Amino acid sequence: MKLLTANFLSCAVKACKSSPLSFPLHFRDAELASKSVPYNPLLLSNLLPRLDWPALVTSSKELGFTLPDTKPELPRLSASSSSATTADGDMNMDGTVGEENEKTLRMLHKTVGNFLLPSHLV
Amino acid sequence: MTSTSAPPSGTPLKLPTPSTSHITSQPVYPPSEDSYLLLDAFSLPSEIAFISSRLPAGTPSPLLVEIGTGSGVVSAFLAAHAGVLFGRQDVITMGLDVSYTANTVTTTTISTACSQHPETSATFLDCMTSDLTSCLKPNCVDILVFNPPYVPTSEHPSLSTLRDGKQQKVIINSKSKEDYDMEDYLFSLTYAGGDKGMETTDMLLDQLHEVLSERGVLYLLLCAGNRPPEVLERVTGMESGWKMERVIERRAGSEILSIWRVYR
Repeated sequence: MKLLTANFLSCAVKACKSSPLSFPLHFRDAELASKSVPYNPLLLSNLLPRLDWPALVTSSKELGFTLPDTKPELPRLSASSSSATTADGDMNMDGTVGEENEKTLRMLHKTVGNFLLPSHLV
Repeated sequence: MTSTSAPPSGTPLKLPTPSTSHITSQPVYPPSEDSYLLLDAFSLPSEIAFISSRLPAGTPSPLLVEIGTGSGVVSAFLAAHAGVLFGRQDVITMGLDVSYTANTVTTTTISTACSQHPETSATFLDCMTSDLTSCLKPNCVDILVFNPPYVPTSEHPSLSTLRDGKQQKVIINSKSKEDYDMEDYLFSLTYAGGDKGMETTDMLLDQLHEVLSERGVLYLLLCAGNRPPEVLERVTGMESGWKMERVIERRAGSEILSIWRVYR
């Protein structure tokens, strides 16, 4: 799973969707692999407005690296290729991702996250 | 609240179809007439113009999600040719399927197609094992594609085997009875739509207002057995003013297939 993907996921339990705990999901025992990707200023400048930055910061801390606490300004970002690479990096993780209360841990199995709920939670 | 069919829309572009040669004996829905109809629908000049007007370049990056990716051929086509089909490459894509095998296959199909078309490709994020869009944050999808299990059947298969059974593994070169049974079950999930072939589609329509963004569009495949006029009536009667328009229609064997766009 990629870091950016987690910014679009929430707990799959319908009753949890309105809870602030349902997002972001938390990484645990995750193994981080990073891959450099070509600098893509167009994607960065148009993707940034729709990212939940505090959630991205939380996810990055759980994976052992740091992003600035405030969302970078676009002009600064396009001038700073290092933070740009981080935000656009291809992060493959194994481990678990789930809600803070640990009731609904989701296995990340070979990079395909499993969000199918057991029947009693549907 | 009224809806009309889309105007005559010209000839589809002829963009290359993604390779699925890595699919050998995995039990996934192979690229079929309905898959190719979706490719044609998105390749119509009129549809390219429609999407560009809904999601103009320079606006925040659109999120494209396909439910039930199967072989991945539709998602791979859209991701690889995003620059042509959507007028922008800053599109991010995700694939969702209840089958883990389909998700692993689709990951390869999309990644391969994108790497072959770097000059037009979108950014592929991930495939996820999910029932419809239940894993996604509410209201974040801009382009949603669904080729549902649409065949009318007396029974609508339950997902409980996948939900409550053993953790899924990739199924390839089945040899055991357990694997063959799982193949049969997964295959039934690809086509069996229950009453009027609409049971799965109805579940999605019920939640559509929580799935699509304000600018979001659903592309939905229906067969004649789904009674498209009844679906149209239902969708245009839903709260918050939905529109439903036919993009393309084609006879395929004994079936008449059509693709519809649904948006607010």
